[in-house]
Amino acid sequence: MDATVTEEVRQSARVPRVIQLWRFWLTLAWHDWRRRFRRSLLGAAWLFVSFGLFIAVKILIFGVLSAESMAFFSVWLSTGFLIWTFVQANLVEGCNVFITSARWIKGADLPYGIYVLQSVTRSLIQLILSGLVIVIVLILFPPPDIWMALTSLLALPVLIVNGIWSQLLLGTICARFRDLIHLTQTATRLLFFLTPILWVPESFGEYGRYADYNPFTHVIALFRDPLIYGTFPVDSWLIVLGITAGGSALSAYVFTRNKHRIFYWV
Amino acid sequence: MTRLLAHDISLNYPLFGRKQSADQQLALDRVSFDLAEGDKLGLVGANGAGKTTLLRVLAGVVKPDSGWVETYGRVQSLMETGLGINGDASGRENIRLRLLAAGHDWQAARRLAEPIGVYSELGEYLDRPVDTYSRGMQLRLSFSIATSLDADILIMDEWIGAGDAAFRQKATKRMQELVDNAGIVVLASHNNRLLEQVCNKGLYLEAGRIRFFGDIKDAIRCYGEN
Repeated sequence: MDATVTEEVRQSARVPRVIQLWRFWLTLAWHDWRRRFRRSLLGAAWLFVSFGLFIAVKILIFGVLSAESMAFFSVWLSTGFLIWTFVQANLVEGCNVFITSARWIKGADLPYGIYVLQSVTRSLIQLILSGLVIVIVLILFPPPDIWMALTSLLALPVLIVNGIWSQLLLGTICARFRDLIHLTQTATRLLFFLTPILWVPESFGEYGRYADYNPFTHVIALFRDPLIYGTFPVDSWLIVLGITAGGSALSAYVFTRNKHRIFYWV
Repeated sequence: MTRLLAHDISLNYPLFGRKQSADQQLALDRVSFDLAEGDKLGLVGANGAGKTTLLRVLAGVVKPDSGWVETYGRVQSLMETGLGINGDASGRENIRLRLLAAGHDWQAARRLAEPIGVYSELGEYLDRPVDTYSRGMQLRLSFSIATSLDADILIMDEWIGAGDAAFRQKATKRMQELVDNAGIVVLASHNNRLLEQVCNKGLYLEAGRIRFFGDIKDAIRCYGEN
């Protein structure tokens, strides 16, 4: 057999196949990125530029309206918006994660988790590139406590885990009930205004405390509080870790119950 | 030793968007067979008889509702063209992708992709996006990948339709080599001449049930009479 591959592939039974095939989904994510910026001069730098411009304009407009100082508001808005962009990408793209991978699902015997990891990787790259803007903002308006500020990076693994379970869950449900795709998109748009990104809860006095009932307030706080107040948000961490555990369990349950049907749904 | 066993496979295909009639369709009804090394099984039957569904079950892409498939050896499948392909990436990148999906590392994927690309005879098209390929070219790419990936059991659906005569000849030779190396081939086709040429065993499906299982010539004759 002239061109046949006879090389043995070393595989360990202990590591799940989804993890063993990390090179595969990393390449898929890379292809997605390339497609997005194909034939553009700036390429992925567009992400940095557009995020930077967006932040700058918002700071100018809403900073004037806001009662807070410019320094406070700049950090407040840019950090909040950065995390929100990641959350939003995971919610919106999570709905379509299996639908857009139909070509692979119908053609190859591969674990479906691959497509979720591909999608989360994509949004993570976006987070990191946009995060460069935050670095500039923080140089202009340095955080009160440098060492405490570093704890904001602990939010990253939590964001990734939450991205994975929400995409797995939304991807499964939305493949079956397509209306949920549109519902999620609508809800995400509304949630942007209900989450303290453009506004600061304190300036709403009595009503401001309602923001605490929004889980996304706490997700953002993990990253923002150490940078802006120099404090470690223990309450928010407990809430988010609780959501992470509960969400992961729910997602794993829904996915394993339905994974053999996803083939027909996409 | 290569072997492929189907134990009592039944599968209902769910239907969506239909309010009145049944919400599922019986696609496979207690299908069983046993293939040993060197067997080349041809599937015959009318459209909708369950050939493609059976191939999907054998390839592990769908799970049957009851029954199970036992495979001894590595399975590779070649379904509809355009599946298991990233249309946006080049042919060469797709070969590498599938090698990565098989568990190879970067270097191995890069190295092993070369002979597969040469075999596909796609030349300069290898560096163009697969979505710009004709159906025949897509098929050549998919066939080259599927038959090069160290397969013991090869599962193919109507693959011959789009290939030109020269490639068809090459492909038939490739499958013969595979079978000579103690492999198993399962092939669904409406091309009786091809089936007789390639296969030794035949399975005639009707409405998800096995009507006949045995020699390929008898299977084709039995199908022709109905």
